Amino acid sequence: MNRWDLFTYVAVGILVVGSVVVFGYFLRDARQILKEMGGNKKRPDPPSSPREPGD
Amino acid sequence: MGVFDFVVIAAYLGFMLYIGWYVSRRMKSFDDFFIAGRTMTTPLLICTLVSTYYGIDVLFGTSELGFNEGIVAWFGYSRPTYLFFILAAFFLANRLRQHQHRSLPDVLAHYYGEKAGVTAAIASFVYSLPSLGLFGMGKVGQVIFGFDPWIGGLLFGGVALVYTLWGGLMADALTDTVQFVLMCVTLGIAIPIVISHTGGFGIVAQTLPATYFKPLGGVPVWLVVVYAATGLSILVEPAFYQRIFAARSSRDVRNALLIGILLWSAYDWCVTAGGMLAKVAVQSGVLPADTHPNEALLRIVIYALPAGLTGLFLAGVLAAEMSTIDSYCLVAGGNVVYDIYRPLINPRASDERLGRLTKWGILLSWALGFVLAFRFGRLLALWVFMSSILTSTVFVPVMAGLYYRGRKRPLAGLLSGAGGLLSVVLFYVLVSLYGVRNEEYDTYILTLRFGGRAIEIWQEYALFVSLPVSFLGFIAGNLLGRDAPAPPAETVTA
Repeated sequence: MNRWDLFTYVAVGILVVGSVVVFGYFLRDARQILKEMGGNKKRPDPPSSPREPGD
Repeated sequence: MGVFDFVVIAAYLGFMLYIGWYVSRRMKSFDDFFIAGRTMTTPLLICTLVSTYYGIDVLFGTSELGFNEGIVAWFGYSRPTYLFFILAAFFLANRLRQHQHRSLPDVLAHYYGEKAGVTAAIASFVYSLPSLGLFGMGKVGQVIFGFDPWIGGLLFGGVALVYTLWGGLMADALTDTVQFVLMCVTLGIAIPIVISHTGGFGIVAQTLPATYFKPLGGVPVWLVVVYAATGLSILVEPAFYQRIFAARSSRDVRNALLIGILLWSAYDWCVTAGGMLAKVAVQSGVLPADTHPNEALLRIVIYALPAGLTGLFLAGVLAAEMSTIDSYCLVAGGNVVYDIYRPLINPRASDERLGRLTKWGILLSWALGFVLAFRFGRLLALWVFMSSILTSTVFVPVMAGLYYRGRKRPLAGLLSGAGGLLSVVLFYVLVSLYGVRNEEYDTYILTLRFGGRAIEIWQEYALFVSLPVSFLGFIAGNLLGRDAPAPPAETVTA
C-alpha cells in the first residue's frame, strides 16, 4: 500500500471515529444543556468559577 | 440518484426544521437566543466550530486546489490555519471571557467606546453576509437536482434561515451537531470507495506531475505566505467570538479547539486527497474531461457511492453549508441590532425587543446575502476582500485591547479601525485600476519596476499594508486623543 493511501486511511479513521465519539459525548450533555438554557439553572461567570483554576 | 437518496435528503431537511422549532419553545431571554445562555460544553463546541468553519468553500475550494496543485492544498493552505487556532485556544479564549461580552464589537466598545464598537459592527456585518454560502447552496442544487442556482439558494438556504429564526444560536449549534456527524462520516465513507475506484495514490503518482507531491507545489512562496497570513482573521472572527462567549468555560473552548484541530486536519486531508483522486478519474476517462475542478470531488463521490449513501453524502454536503449560513446570519443580525441599533438608537432596549429585532436583522442579512450571491461572478475573490476588511479593521485594536497594558484612548480604537478599513479598500482599488488581471489565480497583479527589477504586488497582499496602517492609527490615536470619560454608574437596562 502506498504511504499516501495509508495516510488517507488514518485521516478517514480520525474523521469517522472522532466525529462519532464527539457526538456521543454531546448526546450525554444534551438534556442538561437544554435545561440550563431554559433558565432553570444559571452558572456564574466562568472566570470566577472554581471550574477554571488555570484561567 | 435514486428515490431513497431524495428521501434521505428530505428527512434531513425536515429534521433540521424540527430542531429549530423544538429549541424555540425553550427561549426565555436574549442571551438564550444570541449566545445560547452561555451553556455550551466541549462536545457541542467541537461540533459547532468544526461544522461552521468547514462549508462548501472548503469542500469545493480545497478539493479544487488538490485537483490542480496536489498536496500543497493541505501543507500550504490548511495547516498554517491550525497554528492560529492553537494560539486562540491557549491565549485568546480566557482573555475574552474576563468580561460578559456578547459579540466582537462588544469587545471594542468595552476598550474604546461605542464609536469603535459600531465601526467593528459594520465590518463584521459585511463580512458575515452569507453570500458565499447561498451561492454554494445554489451550486449544489444545480449539480444535484439541475435547479437554477437561485432556486437551490432559496430552498436550502431558506431552511437554514427558518430554523435560525426559530431557535437562534442553540438551534444553530444543535443542528450543527447533526451536520458535523453527517459531513465527517459521509466523507469518511466516500474517500475509501473513491480510492478503490481510482486505484489510489499509486496511480496518482504514476499519472500526475511530481509537483503534486511537493508540500509547496508550484505555487509562489509569497502567495502561500499571504494565504497563511489570512489565518489571522481567526483571531478576530465574529462567529468564533460568539461561540467563545457562549461556552460554559474557557476550558471548554480550549479543549474543543484542540480536538477540533485534529478533526479539521483529517477533513482537510480527505478533501485534498479526494481532489487528487478526482483528477486521475478525469484523466482516465471515468469523469468527463470538461469536469470543473471545483465540482470534481462531488462528481467522483456521486459516481462511486451506491444508492442511499449518495443521498447521505449529499445531505452531508448541504449540512456543511447550512451550518455556515445559519451561523453568519445570526452574527450579522446581531451586529445590526445589538451592536448598532442598541448603542446608537435605543440603549435601554429590553431583552424581548432585542430578540425580536435581531430576527429581523437575521432576515435582512439573509436577503442581502442572497441578492449579492447571484450578482457577482468572482465570489471567492469577494470573500478574500471581505475577510481582509474585517482583519484590517479590528485585528490591531482588539489585540491591543486584550494584551496591551498601557493607555487605550477611544481615538486609538477609532483611528486604528478606520485606518485599516480605508487602507485596505484603497489598496484594492489601486491594484484593480493599475494592475493586470491574472486568470490563473483569479486576481489582479500590479507590477512595479525599480532599476530594472520587477516587483509584483498582488491584490491579496493588502494585509501587509493595512495592518501597519492600522497599527500607526492606534499609536496616533493614543498620542492625540483624550482619555475615555468615566463609565456611568448604571449601564444595565430593562
